[in-house]
Amino acid sequence: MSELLIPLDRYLAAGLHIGTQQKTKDMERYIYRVRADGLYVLDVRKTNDRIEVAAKFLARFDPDDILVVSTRQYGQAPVKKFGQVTGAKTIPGRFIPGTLTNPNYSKFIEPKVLVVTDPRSDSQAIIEAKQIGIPVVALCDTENLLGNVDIVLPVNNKGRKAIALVYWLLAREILKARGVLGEDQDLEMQPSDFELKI
Amino acid sequence: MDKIECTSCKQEISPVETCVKFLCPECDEMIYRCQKCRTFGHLYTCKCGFMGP
Repeated sequence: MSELLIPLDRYLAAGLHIGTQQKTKDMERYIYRVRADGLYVLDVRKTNDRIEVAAKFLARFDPDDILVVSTRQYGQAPVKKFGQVTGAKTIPGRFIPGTLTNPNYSKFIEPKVLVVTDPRSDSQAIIEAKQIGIPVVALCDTENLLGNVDIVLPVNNKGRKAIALVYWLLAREILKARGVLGEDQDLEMQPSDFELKI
Repeated sequence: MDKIECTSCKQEISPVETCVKFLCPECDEMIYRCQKCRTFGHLYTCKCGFMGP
């Protein structure tokens, strides 16, 4: 069994494993158990493995070719920070239809990979990624469907701390894979710096 | 021209179909997914054993 990227306590403290009271057949593979109150709990080891896999995958692309999207309020601050740290393009907030498909639009871009915070709320970005044929990496909770998603990160995509921790981990692992950070080095920023301040 | 087949359903992908291709995160094998398998979220398995999505 491989080692976790950060101690288990930090994963649990951020609530990365907490799912919802609904589950889909697609996400069944990543569910560990169901709690007495009906909440489905995600398998932290699978989440950890997937974060490593996604980071390895994203590190192969140029930073300019990565587009990270979050319509969800709690995802917007982490996405902006992720963009600053890794150099990826970001769209926090509303995704204007045509951003990936309409060359006449002034903010038209042509990324090579798309990262979404929630496949349901970022559905417009996924539809456009499907049309231009680019792979999609998505943070999915227990109630998400995996249509048009190519690599899943099974995490709690509703929590403020959970989203911040995932993007922090992704940023750290991408920089390590690119060779910017050493194997035993850590980011200067903490996961709390990625969080939306309330 | 080489024929492309979907990693999930093993069916040939037509040149006019919008498919997606990307390198497997674990190895350097190219993964192809046809439109139908993508839409329905069908599982794919790489030669190295990596299973997605």
